[in-house]
Amino acid sequence: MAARPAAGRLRPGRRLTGRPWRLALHPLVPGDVVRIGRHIAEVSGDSSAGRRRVEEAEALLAAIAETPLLGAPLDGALDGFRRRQGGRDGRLTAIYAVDEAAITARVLLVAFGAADWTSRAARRRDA
Amino acid sequence: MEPSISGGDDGVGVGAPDEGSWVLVVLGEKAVDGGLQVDDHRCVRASRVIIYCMSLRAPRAPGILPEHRNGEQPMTVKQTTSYTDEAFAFARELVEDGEFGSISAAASAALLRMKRARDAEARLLEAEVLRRAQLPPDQYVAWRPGLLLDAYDRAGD
Repeated sequence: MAARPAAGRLRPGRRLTGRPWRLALHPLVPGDVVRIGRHIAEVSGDSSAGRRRVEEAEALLAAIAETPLLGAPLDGALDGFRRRQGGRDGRLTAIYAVDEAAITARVLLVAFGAADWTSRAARRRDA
Repeated sequence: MEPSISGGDDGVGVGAPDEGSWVLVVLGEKAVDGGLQVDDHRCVRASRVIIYCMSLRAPRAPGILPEHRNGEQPMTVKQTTSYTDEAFAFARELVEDGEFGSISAAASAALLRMKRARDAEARLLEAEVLRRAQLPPDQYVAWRPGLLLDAYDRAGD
């Protein structure tokens, strides 16, 4: 099980080791983004709009890789995780954890706005 | 004093058909309505702009507005709010159809519905993140620029 990161041990802007951060994705994250792109393409009727959203997700991940400690720390049940938003209207949301020891940020999930979480989770429960 | 506002049981600022809509601006202790004193608020005539739900009826316990029909929750906070024409027309429709006792109640119900939906989404998002967090770190996929685009393009093939 991935160890939950300790919250607040390192503040944004502080240099760690000078080595670049590694970014690792939960295996379901690419699927998250593909579904977001398809959803946008379907509702807009514009396939390039879907691809643009995927490009925005790429940019969001690149930004996390660059400065993972800039993400907003979450609290409550998600204490220790961080959230970063991106995309044209800030509707893309990435939830990730920073592992300082491994100099790695692990992205657990990428969502678009509400992103159909209700129905998706319901389907998963029913499965 | 001629009442400036008629309508719902909480004094929703829906003017009579020939009055257009009203905007009510809370000024504090002293207020006038076209030169007339009306409670502690000032009423300014405007065209189809802002509707504020307030009470012009007999004084009640401080801070407590009346309960509404259909089992709606009591209105407990007075605020000045603005609506788009479309939103207000819809809210008025709901009130006229008897679905809500006032514009306040309709707006409150819509906001509460949104809050509940968001809360539900947040809980599910949270559960999903925690579920995914169970995966051992060595099973994560190393990200490189273009990885998501490749996945998207492959999925489209």
